[in-house]
Amino acid sequence: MNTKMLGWATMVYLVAMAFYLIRLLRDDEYWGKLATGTSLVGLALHTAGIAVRWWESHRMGLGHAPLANFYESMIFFSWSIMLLYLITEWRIKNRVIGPFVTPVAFLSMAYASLSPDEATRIQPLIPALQSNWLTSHVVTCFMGYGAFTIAFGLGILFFARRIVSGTGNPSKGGGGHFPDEGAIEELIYHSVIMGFIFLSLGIITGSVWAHSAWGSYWSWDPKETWSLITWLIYAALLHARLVRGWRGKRIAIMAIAGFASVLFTYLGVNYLDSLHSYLM
Amino acid sequence: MQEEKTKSKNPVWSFFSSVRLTIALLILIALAAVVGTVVPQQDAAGESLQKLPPALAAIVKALQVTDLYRSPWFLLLMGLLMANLVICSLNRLPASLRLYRRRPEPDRPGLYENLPPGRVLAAEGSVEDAADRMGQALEKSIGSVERKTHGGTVWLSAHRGAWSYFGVYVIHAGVLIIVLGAVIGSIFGFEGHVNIPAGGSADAIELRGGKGTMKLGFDVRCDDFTVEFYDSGMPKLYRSDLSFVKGGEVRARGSLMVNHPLEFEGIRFYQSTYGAIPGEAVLAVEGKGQRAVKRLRQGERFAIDGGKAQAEILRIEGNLMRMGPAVKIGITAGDKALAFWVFQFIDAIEEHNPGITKQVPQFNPALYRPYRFALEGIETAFYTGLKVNRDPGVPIVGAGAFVLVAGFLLTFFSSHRQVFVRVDRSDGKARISIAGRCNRDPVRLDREIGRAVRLYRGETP
Repeated sequence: MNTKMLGWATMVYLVAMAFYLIRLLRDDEYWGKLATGTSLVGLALHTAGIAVRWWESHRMGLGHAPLANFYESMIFFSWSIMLLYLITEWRIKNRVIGPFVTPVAFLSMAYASLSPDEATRIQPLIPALQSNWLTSHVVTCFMGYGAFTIAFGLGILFFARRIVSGTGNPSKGGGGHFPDEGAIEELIYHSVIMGFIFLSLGIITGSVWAHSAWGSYWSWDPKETWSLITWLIYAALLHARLVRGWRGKRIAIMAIAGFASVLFTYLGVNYLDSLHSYLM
Repeated sequence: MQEEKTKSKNPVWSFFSSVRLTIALLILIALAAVVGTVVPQQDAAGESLQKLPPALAAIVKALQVTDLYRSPWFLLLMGLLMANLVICSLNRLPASLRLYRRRPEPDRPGLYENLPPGRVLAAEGSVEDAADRMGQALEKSIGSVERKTHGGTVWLSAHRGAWSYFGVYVIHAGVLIIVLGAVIGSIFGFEGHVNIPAGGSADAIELRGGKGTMKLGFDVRCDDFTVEFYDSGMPKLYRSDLSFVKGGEVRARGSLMVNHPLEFEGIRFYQSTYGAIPGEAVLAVEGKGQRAVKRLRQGERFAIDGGKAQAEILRIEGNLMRMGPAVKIGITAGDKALAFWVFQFIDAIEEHNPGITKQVPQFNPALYRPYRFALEGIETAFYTGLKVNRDPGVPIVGAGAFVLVAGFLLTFFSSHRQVFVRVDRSDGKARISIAGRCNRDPVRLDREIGRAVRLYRGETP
């Protein structure tokens, strides 16, 4: 039941993605409104799918938030991205980031749906996961990942705008209906702050959990270490902008590099020996 | 001021107070950590080092990349970052203090030019009256109001959130406290592990990193170990029932589970691993018209043949040479000694290899005539693997994390908003001009000014 709903949400996101793209190419808010509406339907289905999965786990007598394996984490990653994206869209009253963010959410859902049946089944929790910290740790981490995804989308948008407007006139004018570079960069900065705070909370909740499960709040496990690497990259970005006064292109590049580190923290680490390897 | 200038000329000080250094160090530490996740660390490193050509292995060893996070150069990078953090903060603190203390004069020129239309209000009545009402509105919307009158014009100013200048220092303090806690933990704490068979006890632990053993000062007894599985074969529960024994009496008892550590005398115990060990062998001894069944552990001795011979269980094997469970028995009778294996499935083994007990006398369970031994089974026993540590740095790290989060809130969700109002007379009416300034979050400032204007007009805010 829940996997069907989530499958439908995936398809709806694909359609939303297409609408955002048409809006970008034709600069017609008719398509923009359609894209936002479709995204909202997708998010509603998505949320319901997660809720039903949670309810089903209780009915099976297992009773845990659907955040316990790789499949469930991909679903939640996508959910965080769409939620944060729609909030951003509503706050800035602009749909131009959509075409750059919705593909990540769609791909995450689509990749999750490729999982073999074994992974999509609701499973009981192994002893290490039997903790109240599971939910707070996963939610904070993925909210962070979601915010960094938005910053990444904005970073791509920054360069897309340059390509469209030509490199001759980088700061103002040109770029058609794109926001100007200063505004994009300001949004990158705000998304990175959000992500940075959530990632910090994710690391802290993870440490508290590790302290009770394994007896040390920090063991330089590859996942932990990569989360620190990601944290350091975004810390460097914030210092570069706030104190060194870096703007524009450099910040956009750092937002994209930071997202590469997020992806490695999330996916790449699974190829290294890790305490988090049960996620696979 | 003078002192600050001489400070900034000091090359060491200016090197450490540069944010360029901060960014370089953040990136260097990140790169070092990347190396640390790719190169196997500590115990895992030994095997992979052997696969490398000796010259390369020597370089890897010299650079200590196989114990990277404890290597002097990684600690040096961390130390530099901390020094940079402290000096940078000290360097910038006076400027923040000035910003915190500074109250710009509300009557300075240029402040009330180019105000947006909604920020200039006209009012009937006197300037003083309008200023009074505006002052009350500001008081409610922003905070305490300062007032200045000169030549028929009234200036008001109010501000809020000046503390936000210090948020960044709170974040830095949080990071420092966390690192301090980690250092204290690594100096005054210890970490080790111990395996205890169910029913057995231990009074010492093996320290991590091959630093020898450490006496606990009490006994840890594993009264029982339980492992449960789901139907799918996934583990469901590991539980060790432990007793802490001191001076011959049980001082504490508890069930140790994953995510539920136990603490005794400041030392914490964690359920870490478990394993199976061959436990008691059930051995039947037949001969001279008698049959006796004994349950025996490795190393246990027993008498046979009315005390004429001594037998000892030399080894217990769960699966010897792929022929199933077996025990090795040594028998001494006078000055004669012999040893042989007793397989549980000796009949099946003979069937597959006819005559094996003749060819290999050591496999003959009836080697000590006229007795014949038969192994009825080996009971497996569990041992529990406990991680044991003490880390006095944990509360400090926790406090640091708390300070860090508080610093985030202060830095990113607060801002210093200042509102300046001029009330003067223009075209026979009182004219109120409102200017605002903030270091972050202009949206919030607009909202607060809007609220003050609505309060002034007597609308519901």
